[in-house]
Amino acid sequence: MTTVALVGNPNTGKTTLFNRLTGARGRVGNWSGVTVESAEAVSTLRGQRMRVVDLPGIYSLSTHTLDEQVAHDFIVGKHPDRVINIVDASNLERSLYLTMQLVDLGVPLVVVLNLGDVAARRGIRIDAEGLERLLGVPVVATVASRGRGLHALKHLLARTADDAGEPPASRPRPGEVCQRSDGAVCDDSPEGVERRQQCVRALLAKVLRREGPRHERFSDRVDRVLISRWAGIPVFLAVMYAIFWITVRATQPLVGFVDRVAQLFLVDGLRHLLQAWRLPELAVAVLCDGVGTGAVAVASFAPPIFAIFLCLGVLEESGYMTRAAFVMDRMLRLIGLPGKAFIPLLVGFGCTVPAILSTRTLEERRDRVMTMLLTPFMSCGARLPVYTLFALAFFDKRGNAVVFTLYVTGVALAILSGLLLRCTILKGEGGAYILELPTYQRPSLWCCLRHAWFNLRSFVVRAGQVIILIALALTLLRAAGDAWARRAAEPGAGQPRRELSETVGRALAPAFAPMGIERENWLAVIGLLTGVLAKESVIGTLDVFYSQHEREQFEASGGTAADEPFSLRGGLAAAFRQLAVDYGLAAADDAEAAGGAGLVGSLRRHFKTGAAAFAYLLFVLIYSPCLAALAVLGREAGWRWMWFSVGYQTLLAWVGATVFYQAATFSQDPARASFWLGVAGVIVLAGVVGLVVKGRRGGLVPDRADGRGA
Amino acid sequence: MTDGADGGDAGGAERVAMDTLADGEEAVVSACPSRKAREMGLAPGVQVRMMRSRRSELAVVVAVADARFMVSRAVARQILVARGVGAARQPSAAKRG
Repeated sequence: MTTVALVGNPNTGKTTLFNRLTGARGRVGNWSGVTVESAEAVSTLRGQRMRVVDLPGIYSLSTHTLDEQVAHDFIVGKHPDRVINIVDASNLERSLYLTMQLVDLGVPLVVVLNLGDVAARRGIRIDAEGLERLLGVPVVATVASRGRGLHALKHLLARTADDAGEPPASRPRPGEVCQRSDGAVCDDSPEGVERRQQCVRALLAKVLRREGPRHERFSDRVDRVLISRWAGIPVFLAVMYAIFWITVRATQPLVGFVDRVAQLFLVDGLRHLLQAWRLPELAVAVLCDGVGTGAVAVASFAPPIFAIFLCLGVLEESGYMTRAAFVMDRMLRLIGLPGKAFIPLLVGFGCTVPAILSTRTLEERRDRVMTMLLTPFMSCGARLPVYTLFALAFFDKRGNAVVFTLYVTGVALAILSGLLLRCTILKGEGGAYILELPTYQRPSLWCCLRHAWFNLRSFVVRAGQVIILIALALTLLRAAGDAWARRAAEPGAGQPRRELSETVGRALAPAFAPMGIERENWLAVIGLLTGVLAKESVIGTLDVFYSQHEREQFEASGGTAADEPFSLRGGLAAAFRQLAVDYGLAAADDAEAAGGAGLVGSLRRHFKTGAAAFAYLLFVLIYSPCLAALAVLGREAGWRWMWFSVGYQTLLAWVGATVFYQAATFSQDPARASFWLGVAGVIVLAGVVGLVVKGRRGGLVPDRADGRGA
Repeated sequence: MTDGADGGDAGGAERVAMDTLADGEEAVVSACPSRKAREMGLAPGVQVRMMRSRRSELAVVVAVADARFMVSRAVARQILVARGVGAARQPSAAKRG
C-alpha cells in the first residue's frame, strides 16, 4: 500500500485536506498546534489503496519542538512513498522555505497550493505552472475547505502511485533558481538557511504577482483593539465569562430536562418493559438501577459538555486563541511561562488530555513540564456536571457564582502552584518564542458543531463504559451481599459481611471527615475513587450508589415502592413543562418549585450542609487528574512527574477542602477546627520545605520522557 | 535557539534591535541569530513591519509579508534590522499607546 504524508506549515489546511482525502474527521482549527501527533487513515483513490498520514505543522525540517520532531522523523525516517506539501497560497513567502528543504531532500513531492481563495481576496496571483517548472515537482492548486482542486490532486496521486517507489536520486531537481554549490542534501548550516531563503525570494519574484498595494488587513484592525492594553484583558475576561455563562447558566435547564427524559426512558420505562416481560428481579435491577441510572447521569451532563466544546471550537476557529496568549503573556511570565503556554491551559477547560498534548508546541522542556502540571487545575468539561448538580442542590440562586468561584479557584491555584514550582523544582524563566497569529475568520458553525459533537461522544463513551462497569460490579456485589446476609440470618451465623465497596468506602471515610464527609456518607468517597478513572463518573457513581442505597434503606425500613402507573406521555409532558419553567417561559407551581427529587435530593440528604458540599467540590476540582490524563502526562513528561502530579494535587485537594470546611464551620467547634487547620498548615509547610530541598538538589527536570534537551 | 546568522552589509543604514522599532515602522532584517525565526521567515534581507510594540509587554507583533508573528522580546532583541532601507511609515499604522 502506498504511503502518502501530508506536511506543511501550521494552519495551512493540512487536516482539512486529510479529512477530504480520507473521509476522516480529524480536528481542525485556526491556530498553530491543532495537530500535535500524526494521524493516519486509509483511503482508496481511483482504485488504489493509500495510507494517508497527517503530520503536525512545521516551518522546517529542524526539530525545535516535539511536534516538529514527529513530522521530521516521519519524513526523514519512514520514507513515505509520496509527500504532499501543503503551502499557503496567501502566504507563499512563509511556506516555501519548507518546500525548498523537501526539494533538497529529494523526497517524492507534490506541492498543493491551498487557500487560493484567500490569496485571490488579497490580490495575490500565483503562476502555478511556473512554480511547477521551477521546483521540478507537480503543483496542484486547491481550496481544500470547499473541495476545489481535489479531483486533480486525487488524479495526480493515483497516476503517480505506480512510480512512488522510484529512488529519490532520479527525481528532477530545481536547477533554475536554486543551484546547490556542494551537492549536499538539505544543508542546515546558517549559510544553507540563507541560501534557501534566497531561493525562495528568487522563486517568488518569478511566480508571484500582487495586484495593487498591500492593504491593512481586517485582522490588523481588529487586533489593534483586541490585544491593546486598555481592551485586551477586559475583552478576554468578557469572552471567558460568556463561555462560562453559556456552559453553566444557559444549559442548566437542559441538564434537568435531559435528566428527566433519560430517567423516563432508561429507568422507569425500561423497568416497566422488563417487568412486563417478567424478567428476573436481578436482571431488572442490573439494567434499570445499574446501567439505566448510570446512563441517565451520563446523559445529563451532555448539555454543558457540548456547550463548552462548542464555545472552545468557536474560539479556536475564529483565531482569537492566539491573541489570548498574547494578552496573557505578562501574567504567565510571572510564573515563568511564555505566553504561548496559555493555549494548552485554555484547551484544558475542555479536556486535560489534548491540553497536555498541546504542550508539544513549546520549545523548552521546563516550560512543557510546568504547563503539563498546571493544566489539570483548569476545570475540564468533565468536572462541570459535578459542579452544576451540586450548585443546583445546595446553592440555588448563588449556584452560578459558586461554579464561577470554582473556575477562578482553579486558575488561582495554578498561578500559586506555578510560583511555588518556579521557586523550587522548576526554576527558570519562560523560554523565548515566536508564534504566528492567524488571520481572523468567521467560525464555521458546521465545523464547531462537529467538533463539539465528537468531543461529547468521546466523553459519553468513556464515562459510559466506566459507569456501566461500576454498575455491573456493584449489582453483582450486592447480589453476593444479599446471599451472605441470608446466610448470616440463619441461626448460629456470625456478623453479616459488607460489600467490598462499602468496606473500602467506610475504611477511607475517616480521611475525608475533616473536609465534611461524614462516615455514613462513604458513598461520596467511592465517587471520588471512580472519579480518578474519569471525572465524569463522579456524578454517575453517586447517582447509582445513592439510588440503590436509598432503595435498600427504604426496603430495610419495611417500606414498599408506591405502585405509580408509568406514563411516558405524562412524563414527557412534565419534562417539557419544567423546561419551559426553567427558561422562564411558564410559571412554576409549588410542587415543582420545591424540587428535591432524584440525585439532587440525594445530594442534599447525604451532604447536609453547603460547606461540606463546597469542600467536596473543591476536592473534585483539585485532586488527581483522571487516568487518561495521567497516562498522557506519564508519556509526555515522564512517570516521576506523573506521580508528582498525583501526590501534589491530591494533597493540595485535601488541604484546600479541609481548610475551607474547617474555616466555614469554625464557630461550631473551634477546638476541632483549630486542630485540623494546624494539621493542614503542617502539611503545607512540610510540602514547601520538601520542594525547596529538592529544588536545591537540582529539581526533577532531568527526568525526561522524550529524550530532548531542556 | 541561536546559532548566528548575519545578513552582512545593510547599506550603511542604522542597525538596531527589532524590538526598538516603533509601531508601523518598517525595516529590513540584517541579522537573525535565531534559527527558528529565520526558518519562519525572519531571515536577513526580509522586510518587516512593526505592528505592535509596548515597553510594558513582553512580546512584539511584527508583520513579515502576509504573516503576523508574536515574537517574545528576548528573540526580538537579538534580531538586528536596518532602518531606512526601503522603509516607509505606514500611514494607517497604529499610534504608540
